[in-house]
Amino acid sequence: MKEEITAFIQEINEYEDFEDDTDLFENGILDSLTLVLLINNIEERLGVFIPEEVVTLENFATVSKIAGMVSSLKGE
Amino acid sequence: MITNVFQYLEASADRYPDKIAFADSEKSVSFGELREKAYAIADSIYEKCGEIKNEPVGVYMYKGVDCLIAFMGIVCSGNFYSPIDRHSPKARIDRIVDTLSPKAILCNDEPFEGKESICIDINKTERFDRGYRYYNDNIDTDPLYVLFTSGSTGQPKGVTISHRGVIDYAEWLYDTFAFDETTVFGNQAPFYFDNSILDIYSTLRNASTTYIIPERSFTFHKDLFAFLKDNKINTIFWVPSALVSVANSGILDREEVPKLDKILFCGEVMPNKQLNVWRRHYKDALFANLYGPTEITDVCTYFIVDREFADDEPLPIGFACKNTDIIVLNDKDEKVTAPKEKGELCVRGTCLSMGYFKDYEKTDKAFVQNPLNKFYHEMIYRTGDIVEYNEHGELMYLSRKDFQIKHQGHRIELGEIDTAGGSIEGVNTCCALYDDVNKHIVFFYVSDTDITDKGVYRELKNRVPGYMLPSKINRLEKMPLNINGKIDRVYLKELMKG
Repeated sequence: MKEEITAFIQEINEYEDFEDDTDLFENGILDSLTLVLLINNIEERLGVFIPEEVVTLENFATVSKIAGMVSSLKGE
Repeated sequence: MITNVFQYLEASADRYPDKIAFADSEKSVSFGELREKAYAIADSIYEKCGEIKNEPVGVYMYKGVDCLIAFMGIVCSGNFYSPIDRHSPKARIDRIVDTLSPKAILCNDEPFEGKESICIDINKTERFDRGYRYYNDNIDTDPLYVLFTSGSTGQPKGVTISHRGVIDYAEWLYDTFAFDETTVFGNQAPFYFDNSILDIYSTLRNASTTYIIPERSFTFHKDLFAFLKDNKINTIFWVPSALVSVANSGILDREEVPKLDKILFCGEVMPNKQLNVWRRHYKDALFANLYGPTEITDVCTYFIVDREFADDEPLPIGFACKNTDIIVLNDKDEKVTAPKEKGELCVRGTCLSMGYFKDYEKTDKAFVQNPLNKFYHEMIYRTGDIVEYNEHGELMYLSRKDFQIKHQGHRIELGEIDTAGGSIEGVNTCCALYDDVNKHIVFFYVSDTDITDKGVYRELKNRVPGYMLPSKINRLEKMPLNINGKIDRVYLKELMKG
């Protein structure tokens, strides 16, 4: 799951380097506009609906956190 | 007689000493406390810097209530303030501070490292109770603030605004939108951006309350809705990008919307597609499109959205504000009045800035004698925005005359990115362009070293704020030139389309 999330973010911003636990917002890798793109990608390509309640900084701060959240939404 | 914005605070503090004036997610300050703290800061400035008047004082803090306390302290001391964006790269901050050469810099948690100016921690100031109003002998043409905006040569330009300009604006806002002590603003604009002038000075003038919305909430809209509801915010003045991002996220359709009476916006073109989503959910709210560059004190035209617009129709920027005159000049400097005739929007009035801080050359280019007036000295500001009148006599924004762009609500001179790019070791020539279709910045460069696109990006990140970073970087064999030997932007635009 982490690889997929990393790939989606790299598609949105191909010039940034980041690790699984890099804070994506603190380091200017994601912002309000690109977050919407990422969510669309996750929903369309991983077939998971992301409800409003889980769109929080805690869940989206790092690749690991996003991957963990998506996995649990998928019931994995 | 109102000659100084501090009088707004004095009057509101007399009427509503305990009412909250400003709050962020951590602290709040009442009108009475704000006045008291402002006097203490003024005392400290006087203690540390001597008897200074009409001198620049910087504010180096992250956005919050403390910034506003610092602004008021500086105003109370009879000097003028300039907010320094702490998120900017160090090199840019240093250039700004170098131009400003502040007598003192106010800070809260962390002192400003750099030039030897006096640093004052606003939480360590005390009132000496001199019983003297430092600002008393200021006049209304004295400067109130300097806001730095992107400059085409890489040097940010310090737009200098007087008390008179802000008083004129705050009075017009009151007349037009009837803000009062029941108004609760939800502030989005950063304080280095002049949209914040509406929130700050309407609050002071009308004893309203402003809640500073945490920046993160504009990414996580559920938090945003909770913040608006919890604080009973009824009025917002946001940059269109913020409204667009809320509309696009779909939250307006999925959640119960916060109660809002007035929804104002300014800073870039507001697309009707997303505005219509908002209008569907706020049938009784007032929507107003405001327009204006920093140089004329935030706003010079406005349009109250009073009819239906199709998703693909452009929204007018409307009509001149009271006590402001708009003149549209064609390329022969003749006044344009007929519909569908293009010209540059020029502004006449009290709202005009005093020019760019320490830059007479740039000032003289933008602030010029009104070419229609052959009788006496009268300045107009040339915005560089190309507009026309529509069939209703409303102003319509069309495009820019130069290389200035609006990206996510930020005003950017592409030349500033060119200058930053040109200073990277290994970059021989470069050119930044805006892709209007994909709404992002594209950066072209030529190099004879093995620097990579990623390397260029990393270097740019050390030189320009995040909102100026390109989304696409293209290395070229050589830079295309036109017959005049200048970079062929038309050709590059074609390349951009792919």
